[in-house]
Amino acid sequence: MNYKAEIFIKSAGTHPVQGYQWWQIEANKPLIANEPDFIKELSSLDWLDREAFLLLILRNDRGLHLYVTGLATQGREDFQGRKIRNDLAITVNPDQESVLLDLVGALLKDKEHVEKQLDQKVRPGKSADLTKPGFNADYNTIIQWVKSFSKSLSRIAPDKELENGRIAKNSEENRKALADLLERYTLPQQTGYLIAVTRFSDPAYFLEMPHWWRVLTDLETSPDWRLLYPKKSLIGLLAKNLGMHIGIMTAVAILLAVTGLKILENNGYEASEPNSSPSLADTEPPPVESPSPTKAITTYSLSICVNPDNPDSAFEWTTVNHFSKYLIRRTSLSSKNGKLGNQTSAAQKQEQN
Amino acid sequence: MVKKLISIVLSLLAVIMTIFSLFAIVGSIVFIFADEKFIEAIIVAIISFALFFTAKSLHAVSVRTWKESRFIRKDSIKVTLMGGRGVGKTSLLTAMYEQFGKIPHLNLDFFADSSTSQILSNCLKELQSQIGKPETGTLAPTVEQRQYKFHVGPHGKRPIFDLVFRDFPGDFLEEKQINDKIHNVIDFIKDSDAIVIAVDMPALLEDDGRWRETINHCLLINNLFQHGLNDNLSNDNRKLVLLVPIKCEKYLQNGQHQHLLQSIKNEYAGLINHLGDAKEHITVAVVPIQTLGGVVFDSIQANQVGHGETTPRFLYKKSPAVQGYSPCDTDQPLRHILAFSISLLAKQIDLEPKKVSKAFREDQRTLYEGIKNKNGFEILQGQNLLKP
Repeated sequence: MNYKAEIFIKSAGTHPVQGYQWWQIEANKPLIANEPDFIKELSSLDWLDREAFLLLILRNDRGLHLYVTGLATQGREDFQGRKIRNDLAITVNPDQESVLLDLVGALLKDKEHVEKQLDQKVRPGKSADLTKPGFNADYNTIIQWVKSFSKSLSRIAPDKELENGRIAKNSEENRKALADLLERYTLPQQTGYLIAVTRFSDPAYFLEMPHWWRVLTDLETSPDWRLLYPKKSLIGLLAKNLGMHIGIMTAVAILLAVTGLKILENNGYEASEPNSSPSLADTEPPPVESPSPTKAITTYSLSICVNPDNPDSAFEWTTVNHFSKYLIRRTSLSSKNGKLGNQTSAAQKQEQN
Repeated sequence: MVKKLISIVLSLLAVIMTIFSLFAIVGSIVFIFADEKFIEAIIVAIISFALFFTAKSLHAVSVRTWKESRFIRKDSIKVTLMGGRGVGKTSLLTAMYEQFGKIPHLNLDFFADSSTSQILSNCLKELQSQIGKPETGTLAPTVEQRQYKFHVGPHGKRPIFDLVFRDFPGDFLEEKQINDKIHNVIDFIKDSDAIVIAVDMPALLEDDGRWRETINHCLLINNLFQHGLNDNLSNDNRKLVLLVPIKCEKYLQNGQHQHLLQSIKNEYAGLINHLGDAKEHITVAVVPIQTLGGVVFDSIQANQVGHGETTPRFLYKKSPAVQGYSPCDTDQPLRHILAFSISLLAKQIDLEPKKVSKAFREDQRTLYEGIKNKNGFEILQGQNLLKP
């Protein structure tokens, strides 16, 4: 198959004016200063650590993109004596995915070996022209190098279970596991960021974006692959808002109870009239002619609260009296006159004693 | 305006609720003494208390909203680190990071987010190890724009604001890229509360200043500020601009404080004069720091690259006067930034509980009292924005 790809390298030269910049490498053409579009779009992901080694795979309508940063060089230093690094970006058509995945597998298994090989393809520039990038690279050489990792493996599409996004700590073991996975399976077909292998990127930020398929980061605590997007079950949602649910249920219960009491009161209890307040002369309970049970209790209890021996306690007694009256009223309504006569006579006995 | 309207509406609601609450209390009393309906009285009393406390909360929110309507609430202070490629912006940030929590007598706590603390801890290790290999003057280059976040709040309490340091690659200022990136850089300047300009002193002073433009981009920075801060001069958009000479161990340890200060004033005269029109709301200060202490500039090695063009290589050596890793005055930029931040957020800090706002005021005093203003340090203007 005729392999075609867009290749970009970001690197620097020795001179202070030959800073880090993206250069597109094309067949039989000088290097052109050009930043890949998909990398321009990455500027919004300022939480993504691109200073250390990063491996990123993105699928969009323009193809499949691989972005690798922080590849070390040998013997190339800037004017401050700092080692110069290479960043690599490759864009391929979706049908050339396997070549890209073979390169990714090699990077995950033996990064040092791959970066050393790339370093040999990207050599320091010897031109005195400071408008040049400060390094040289040839398109065909780089393409041949990329193809050298090709293993001609047959891959199958990941099944439903495998398609779930997962994250784990960036360890050698997990990088190897990811490389093995990529030898057997193709990438999921959805568009978006699919794979990230990074050092200091906060796992929480990955959650904010959909479609990540596999993520390895040094800041993840789980040594094993865990689901990146946990499934939201109904029980989970209920448990999450447990406090709120208890609060709402309590409020509803109180409301129902108060409404219920009100309805009962309206149906079965006629409130004592204000002018029935006793005078000090009324020391004897009035005769109960028509034995409406509640009326009897009301009349009786009022006689307690106007005890002439202790007039100061009137309010206190009134409170207790009304509360007990209310309770008895509830009881009497529920028993429908059955036991009320007994209760009244018992109270009357107590009064006489 | 919207906030003021909301505040008025909330205030009216609070008044209505208070009236209802009073009615409810009266109703409750009537139920007890006139109607003798105790259950109803209790329910109405509970409703009256609920109304009263809701009214009280609404009043508090209304007052807060009214106060907030007089300023724009800020959740973070943005600090941009500017400077050419390899001048030491990341070293400066790392040196400041080391000082977080080390400034004595502060009530404030600083929490770096997880990625910030990991990255800067690694940078600090790298910086400290440079004592053993002094030939390199700075940390690994910053290739991409990067953000570092710190949460600032009183001891044991929730953070009040974030301090966000934005480290952008010095390559952005290079001739080849500036046309593409100029809007990014100007936006950085406009959008920042504090701008820290790192200045490579050997590049500025050595070799008759041959490399000062190539490395420090003094003229370009002057121009960028004139574009970026033009609007700021006429309005009350307060900013802090720090000129921070780095790699100045050689000059400070030899007592050349005045020479260093004067060189900065000369090279950044355009910037200083431009900002001089806004003395009341832009603070400008020169704050030289020694990130390593035990390493000094040695020489510039010029390598021929053909056709008379040369590439410099800045070489460093161990200091004869100072042993080992001994950073000096690295707390100074941080003191300026924090004192300025508290001043900038004064109105919203005042809305915090009294204990918290008092702690911030005390800290501003502590920070201000520790700010140096002689021996190479100078607050050129806007001192009032640092004072408590």
